[in-house]
Amino acid sequence: MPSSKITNLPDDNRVMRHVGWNKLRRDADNDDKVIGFLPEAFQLREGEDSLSVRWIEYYTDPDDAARIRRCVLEERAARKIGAKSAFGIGRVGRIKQVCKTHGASIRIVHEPKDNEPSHSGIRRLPKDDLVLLDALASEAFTEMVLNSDIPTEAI
Amino acid sequence: MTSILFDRQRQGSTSPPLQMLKDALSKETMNLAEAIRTFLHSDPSPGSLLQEQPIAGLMQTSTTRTARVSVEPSLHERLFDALAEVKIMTSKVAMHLDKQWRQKLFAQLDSLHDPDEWEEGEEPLQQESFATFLKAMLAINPERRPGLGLSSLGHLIAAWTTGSDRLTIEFLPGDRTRWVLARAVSGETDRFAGDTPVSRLVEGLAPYRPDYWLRYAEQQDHQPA
Amino acid sequence: MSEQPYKRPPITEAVIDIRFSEDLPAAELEKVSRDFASVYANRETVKNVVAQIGVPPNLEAAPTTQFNQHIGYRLASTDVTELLVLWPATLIVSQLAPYPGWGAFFSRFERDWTRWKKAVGYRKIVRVGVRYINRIDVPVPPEGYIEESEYLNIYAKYPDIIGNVAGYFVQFRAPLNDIECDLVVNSGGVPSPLLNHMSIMFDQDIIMERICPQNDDDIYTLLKKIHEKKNGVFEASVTDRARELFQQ
Repeated sequence: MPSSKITNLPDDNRVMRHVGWNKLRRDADNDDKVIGFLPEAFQLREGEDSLSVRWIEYYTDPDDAARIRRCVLEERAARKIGAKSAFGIGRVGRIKQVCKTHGASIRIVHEPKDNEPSHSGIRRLPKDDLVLLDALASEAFTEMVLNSDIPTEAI
Repeated sequence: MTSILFDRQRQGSTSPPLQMLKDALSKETMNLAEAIRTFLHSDPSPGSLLQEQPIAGLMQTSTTRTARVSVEPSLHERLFDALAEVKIMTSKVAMHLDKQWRQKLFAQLDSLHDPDEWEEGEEPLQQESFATFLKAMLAINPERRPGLGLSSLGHLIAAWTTGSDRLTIEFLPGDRTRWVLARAVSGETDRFAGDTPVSRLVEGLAPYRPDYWLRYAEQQDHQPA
Repeated sequence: MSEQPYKRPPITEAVIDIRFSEDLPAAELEKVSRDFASVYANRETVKNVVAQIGVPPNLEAAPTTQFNQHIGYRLASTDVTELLVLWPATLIVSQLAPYPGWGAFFSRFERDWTRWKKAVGYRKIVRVGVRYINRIDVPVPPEGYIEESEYLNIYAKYPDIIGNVAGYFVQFRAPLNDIECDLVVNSGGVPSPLLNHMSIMFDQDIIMERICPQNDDDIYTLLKKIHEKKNGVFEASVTDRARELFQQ
């Protein structure tokens, strides 16, 4: 179990970002099938100074699917999320590399909250760099997990 | 002279306020001028909730407003209102839209405003953003319809995807657009972004051969930019 | 004449409104609005507030204020193109674009009128109106301005010394003695919702207030006469150049 102080996440660890239905990229030619993430899924909102994500390797279950499930359930417990939403997963080192390529030097740090022990944040992310956001959507958060694929069960 | 459009928003902006002239003009003239002013601002559509009626005389002002009864709208009401307003906006240009395209658009907009998927802190579709979107779609007239999304501020997002290549346009208030496109070239990805008025969106995208995303025929001729 | 001669009719809204001599009590209006729930997907309550401020000359006394308000109901189809608005003394059937043709529009009016009558019974009618609002969208030519006379036979005429104008508005009222109605026409430049276009609004309202029909057959007959007259006025008012736009 990681220590309680704020730490930078290791480059070979992964983080997961919740993406609501409205920020999923869809193919209108194919019955609006979900095919990825819009750049705006990684955009900071007004007043935010770090992008909320969850640290997958915070959980030490031997089964990777179990770690991902615990993060999803933690998200569900923290706030209402839609059934058609999804999660983007990216490796910390890759996210940092993509940002650096586009001129942004970020930090991904552990920011645990009450009842959200895996909560983390991507800090120093530029607010309105559409090129960077598109790169994050397509080259950094390359794995997708649908919320509907994770069964409901207590942590 | 670039236009002879009558702009209601500007009407009266360069002339002295009517009340300043009242001592110089007859009561009948003031009544007539005021009646014309309020008439020109009237919205005759029962589809709109705003109605104004001519005033009765110089020293009396009568104003009519029609508004929703509820003061604190629920989430469902907010989403419904937003959808209703943009559907009415669409009707204003429906004669220029393909029926199926319009129906599909409405289905997409309904989907974006599903209360079950709504996230706290998000804004419903803003009318000004949708107005920009409509102008763009009527100007671009894409064969391929875009996937739609919504930013946290209620700005509509249109996205086209061809393989790993992407075109994404965000429609802002004030007839402005922000866009980013990405194309794979020899194993690398080229990205270009812009911030242009909707009136120059077609021109702004032209160097990047947007028909590659917007037209079906162009997809069969996959050539790098 | 074909019911729908144009591929892209310029109609943005068509309205049939019936006004009664007396208000329907609030509770009854609310109940009848619910009777339409099966034919309209959405129903909402709306409030019409009239504020009057009286300012005595020279402020000899304190200004007075008076507020009057009415509760009404707006019912709409899912795509918000078919509307029914109910006020205490008015029933309004409205059709937004795309205009489905007179047949479909009138059929809906018949349906809603029948349902209304069944719910509230006979009420004395004091006004019957049919209003069609059109918007003619003209692509901006290279010279940057248009001659409204090339699209409409109703326009403002001014001497050459004035040159090009930034906007205009025309309104007139004329008796239509053959059908005992009055015609009100409004026309002028309006902001265009299309890029690189200019738009001209042509709005005609045909009103019966002199001798209002009181039974269904007479109402329907009048509405059909008004519709035919409206078509005649429209066709006489637009030019062939405008018709070309409606067929593109």
